[in-house]
Amino acid sequence: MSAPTPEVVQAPSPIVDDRLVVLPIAAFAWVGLGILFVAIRIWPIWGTPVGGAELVHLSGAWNAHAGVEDSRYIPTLFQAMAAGLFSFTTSEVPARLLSFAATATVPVAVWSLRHRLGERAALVALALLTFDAPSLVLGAESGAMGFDLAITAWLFAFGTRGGLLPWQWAVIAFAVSTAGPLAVPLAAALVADWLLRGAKVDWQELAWPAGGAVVGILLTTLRPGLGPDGLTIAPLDLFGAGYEQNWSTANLLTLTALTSWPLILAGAAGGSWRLYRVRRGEPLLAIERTLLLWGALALGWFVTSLPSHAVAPLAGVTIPAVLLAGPAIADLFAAIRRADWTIARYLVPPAAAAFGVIAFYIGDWAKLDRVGDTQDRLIVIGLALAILAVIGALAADRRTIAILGAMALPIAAAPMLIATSTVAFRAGDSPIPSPYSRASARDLRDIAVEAARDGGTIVIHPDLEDELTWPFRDSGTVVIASQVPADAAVVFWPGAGPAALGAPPIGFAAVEEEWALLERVESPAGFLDLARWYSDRYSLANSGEPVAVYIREGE
Amino acid sequence: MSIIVAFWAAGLVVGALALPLSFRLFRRFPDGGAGLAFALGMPLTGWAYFTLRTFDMLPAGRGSAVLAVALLGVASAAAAGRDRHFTSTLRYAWPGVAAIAGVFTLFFFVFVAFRSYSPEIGGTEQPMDLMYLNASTESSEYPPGDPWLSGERASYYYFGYVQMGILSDVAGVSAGEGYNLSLAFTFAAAAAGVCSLGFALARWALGRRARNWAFGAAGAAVVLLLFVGSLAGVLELAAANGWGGNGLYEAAGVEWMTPCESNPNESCRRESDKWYPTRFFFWFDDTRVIRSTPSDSDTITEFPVFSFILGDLHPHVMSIPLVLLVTALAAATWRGRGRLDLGAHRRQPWAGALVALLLGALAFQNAWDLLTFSGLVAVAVLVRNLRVLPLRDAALATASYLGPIAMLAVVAYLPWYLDFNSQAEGLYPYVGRGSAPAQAFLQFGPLFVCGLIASAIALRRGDERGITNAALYTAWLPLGPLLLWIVLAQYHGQLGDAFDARGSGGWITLTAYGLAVWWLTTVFAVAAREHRPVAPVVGLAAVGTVLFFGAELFLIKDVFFGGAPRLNTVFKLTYQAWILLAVAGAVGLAGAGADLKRRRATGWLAVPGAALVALGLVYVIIAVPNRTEGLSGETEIDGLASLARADPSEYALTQWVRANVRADEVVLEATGRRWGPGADGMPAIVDGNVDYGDGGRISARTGRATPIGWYFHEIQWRGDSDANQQDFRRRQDLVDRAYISPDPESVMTVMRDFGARYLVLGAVEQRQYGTFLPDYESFLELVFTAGEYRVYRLHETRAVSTS
Repeated sequence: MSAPTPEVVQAPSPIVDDRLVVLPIAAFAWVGLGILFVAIRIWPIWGTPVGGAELVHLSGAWNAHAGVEDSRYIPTLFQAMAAGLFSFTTSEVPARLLSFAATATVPVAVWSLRHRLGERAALVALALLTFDAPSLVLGAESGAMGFDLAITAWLFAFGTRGGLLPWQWAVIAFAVSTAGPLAVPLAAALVADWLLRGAKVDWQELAWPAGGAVVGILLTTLRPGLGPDGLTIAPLDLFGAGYEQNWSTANLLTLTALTSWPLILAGAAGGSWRLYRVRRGEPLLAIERTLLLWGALALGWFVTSLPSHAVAPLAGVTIPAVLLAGPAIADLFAAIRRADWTIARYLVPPAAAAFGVIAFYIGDWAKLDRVGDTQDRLIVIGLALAILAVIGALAADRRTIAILGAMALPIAAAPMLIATSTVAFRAGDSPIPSPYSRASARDLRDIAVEAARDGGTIVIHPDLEDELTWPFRDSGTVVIASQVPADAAVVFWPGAGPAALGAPPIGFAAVEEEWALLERVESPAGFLDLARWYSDRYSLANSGEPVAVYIREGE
Repeated sequence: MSIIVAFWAAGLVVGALALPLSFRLFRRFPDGGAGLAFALGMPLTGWAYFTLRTFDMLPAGRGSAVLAVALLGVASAAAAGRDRHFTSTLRYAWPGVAAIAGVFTLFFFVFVAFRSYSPEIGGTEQPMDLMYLNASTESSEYPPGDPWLSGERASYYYFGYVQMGILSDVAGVSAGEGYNLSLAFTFAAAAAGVCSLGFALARWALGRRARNWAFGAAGAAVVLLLFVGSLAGVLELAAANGWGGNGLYEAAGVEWMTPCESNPNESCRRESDKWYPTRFFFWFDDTRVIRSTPSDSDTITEFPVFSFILGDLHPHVMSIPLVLLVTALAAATWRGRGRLDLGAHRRQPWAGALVALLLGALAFQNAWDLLTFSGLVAVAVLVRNLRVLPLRDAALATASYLGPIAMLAVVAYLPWYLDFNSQAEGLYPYVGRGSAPAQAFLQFGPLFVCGLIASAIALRRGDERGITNAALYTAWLPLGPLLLWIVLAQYHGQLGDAFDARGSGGWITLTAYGLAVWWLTTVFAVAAREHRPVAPVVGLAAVGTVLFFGAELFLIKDVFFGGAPRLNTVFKLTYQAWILLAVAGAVGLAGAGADLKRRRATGWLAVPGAALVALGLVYVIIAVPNRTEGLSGETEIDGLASLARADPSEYALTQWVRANVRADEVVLEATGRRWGPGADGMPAIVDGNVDYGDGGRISARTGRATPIGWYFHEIQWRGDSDANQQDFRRRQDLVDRAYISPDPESVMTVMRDFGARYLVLGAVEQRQYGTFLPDYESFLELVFTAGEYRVYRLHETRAVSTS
């Protein structure tokens, strides 16, 4: 007697017309975000003046092209290529296009992470990265770090994938060793992760990345354009230069307050959330461990750089931050949907209204540049306490705690969008990049060339030498001198300070105008200045170092 | 406040990153060696920084310091990844780790609070310390240049400055702030280290029934090392209050301290109008108590609490955490199991490399520590091997283990050795008067007695026979050096003089030290033979006493040989002895305390020991209010803030040089020699002394090189040769010429000869050269001005292609 055969019930198959191509919503999201990511980076290619780190590095690259020794030339692969492009053009745009082309691949790198991070998490991460002002600038400008964003994104994508062939590691090592500093924390995190796992050293396998790195270092040591001058490890040299050189007018702390603080907070919250869940028994995936290590190292770089004048460490920390925040925000969206809104629906709108009133008051104070009277202050404090009470009430219940996230998201998104639109579209006076080379600096160059056309030399005071490298590119031979030589046709001198001449040298006439080579967008002096900038992007003060121009009078 | 927190956090991060390595080295310590992690992390970070900068793999500046710390993290990750017991160690050690973090934090901020009342970097050798700190961070090339001798590399044991420079850079603080915060870090790291070591040794030595006394040992170790001072403090307090007559002070051997009411003379102590002595820097004199004659101090007997009150950031101060670490390494080696030979390196190559880096750091950080503390490790290895091997095999195994370590310790720091010019000219017999017993007791009494107490708690009933047997062998330890002294003195033809010169007091002190050495080494031998856990404690006390004994017999010949021959020997060796006896004495005191509770006879030793410690604390209690003027006045941590207040223009000039002169450029500034009109009206030197003065002050504050700084210090670092004297004098003459010559070409020639683009005309130049200063503005470019002060630059003209 045989056992009865269980009846297999076939699930009804959906009626799908195989002539139709089924596209999931996620695909639309990827394409849409990808296009947005790329589109938002197009305008800066032509619209952003050469400034900040880009001005420093382009000046170095130009001098390398001209064969003039310059410590600003730290030959990453990108900067070497930028110097090479100057053989064909004097414009920064081709180099910017090169950087843009590399950065445009970042969405693909993030897309390739979707299976390991989660589809929604990766999408959120890309959305955050799209609106990250520092990486927006870095990915569209032609500084030495032009390839950094792309290299870092792809290093994470490949470095955490596993199963790479040895030669692929060689390529990765070459790319990192010829890049700027952005990939350094990630590379260190990958090495630390590998060591923490107690992996045995396979010298044969290690030889490939070592070989790639050696070739890369050899290339940077050769310093294309200038020739070798000691060992040059570009990512480390640029990492160090970020602490020492002035790549922005505002320091990193101010730049963070102006642009990416929500991302850093979100990244920190995301990392903490992940660790909390691990502590509660969830396994920590290999990619997450690398990400956490990367985030910690990048945060170390960021924190130690806070007093320095460079935007790179900010971009360095926002990339792991968005990848840490992505999964957490994706979880948050789900939690918000599950949350109990029974009471919250009555609490959140008044709290939002109270926040709006506070924002109005602070905006008003910022315009007046003083804090309001006692009554105003009491209103603001009272409303703040009321908001805190709402936060406390929502935080006290596990079923409503996620609603706090719903409150926080728009508050965090608003300043980011303001900052990104300012930087991307140059609305008002963006603090990034600053200082930047004034358009009138190129006019000065034309005046100089014209004045020296009939003989005589263009003379530049040593204090102005660095500032004049970029606007005076392709102007023939100039003389750097601290005394006016007899054959000078036109003289550029500091307009203020001990070196200022006060009156034109004998035989010269001043070219009357308020000349300045660099335009500086000053940092906000305090909280009210910062608040004012968020409501009025033209509110930051501008300044320029005055330059005196003297032309030899006719005989 | 933010800079203080940043520095504290940087120190804490380095300590935390070094924990996995510390766990590997100090697995048997109750806290996993957490207290020593600060001392471990710093030299490793420093070595990575020094090496990578030397080979041009890291650029100059703050970024390299951050990368060096990151490399420590990578090394720690490797250690943690390969350590099967890492998690379990962390589990049992975490209370200790947390406690140590608390100790470090407490002592860091306590010291910052103290130092903030007197943060000036000005007197004694502090400008020199600031100069080396700046050199370590600012030098464009490595090994760093000597800012006080342009064109030359530093020739000094400056590793401590490299490490503190890294911390300053990571924290992003200026050198003036970093200087004072480095002192706070050293203080806190020393407290954490001695806590960890004292606690571990006490836990091993005191057994289970008295293990809670280990906490007392940790506390006592901190007190003995960092708070106890000379007993002369008691007499200073008495004298300031007019207590006691001539007899008291004469009996104590410090008749110069007699209150003026009793014996008015030049150095007598006037009554204070406060409860503590208010005489300026009275506590400084208490490190010059051991004297040949009442008016002539021929040596220095500095001790840690004095160092921290004075605030000189000297190598021997910065090395306190390191020597505690190496002492702990010796203790851990002794405590470990299995023989140590060449095979140990094959099994654990990284452990040997780590030990080599630490022992090598001893020389680089404070060369005087090398012999004593690497010797301690060597003895520990030998004793450990003797447990499992016969003497000959143990000696061979020890040599095969230590040989590669010694080689690596030299190779790892080879770039420094190539530049270092040691001034030690060999071992000489000391043929002076010796230390008077009362003076020696005033200086070292509390530590010495506590060290002896440690030997008492090591003994057990029935040890008499073992002691008798061992004493026959250990007698050579005091006798051997004595015989060597006789031979050396005879060799130098000074034996007769030596016997005559050493007065009865000197012989009594020598005999007391000799007997103590004999006793302590005998007890150590008995305890070590029976593998008693207390043996390393007695061993440390024995080594400390050997150092006292040795400093009475021998000296290392150096540049002070002509004037104060044993100055440095006594100074440096007794400083080491203080550290060793503080650790051993703390365990001894805690053991005696435990015995007292159990009503054992040895317990009563705790009473005199504790009484002496209490008297030793008088020094710090009265010195701190003196140093801080009763904890009054404004507080700040920047060592140059007082300059900014007193002379804002000079401060502005300094800041301008730091900000605008490239790190590899040379600046001309006053040599420190003062000039005035001679008999013929021509410039003549009025005062030629430059050391401890303002010479090289811009260089010291900025790290920019100047042709010549403190003349005699350069002689100390590079040797008292004719060539050096001529070169340094030539530099002084040329620089002075640039300030007194009316001929522009002469000035510019001097500048070009030294490769100096800048010439400084600040407060010191105006004071030192006065009316002879030429009109620089007529031939140099004025680039900075503040008030009366100026900076000038050589004119330049060069063509540059822009296409």
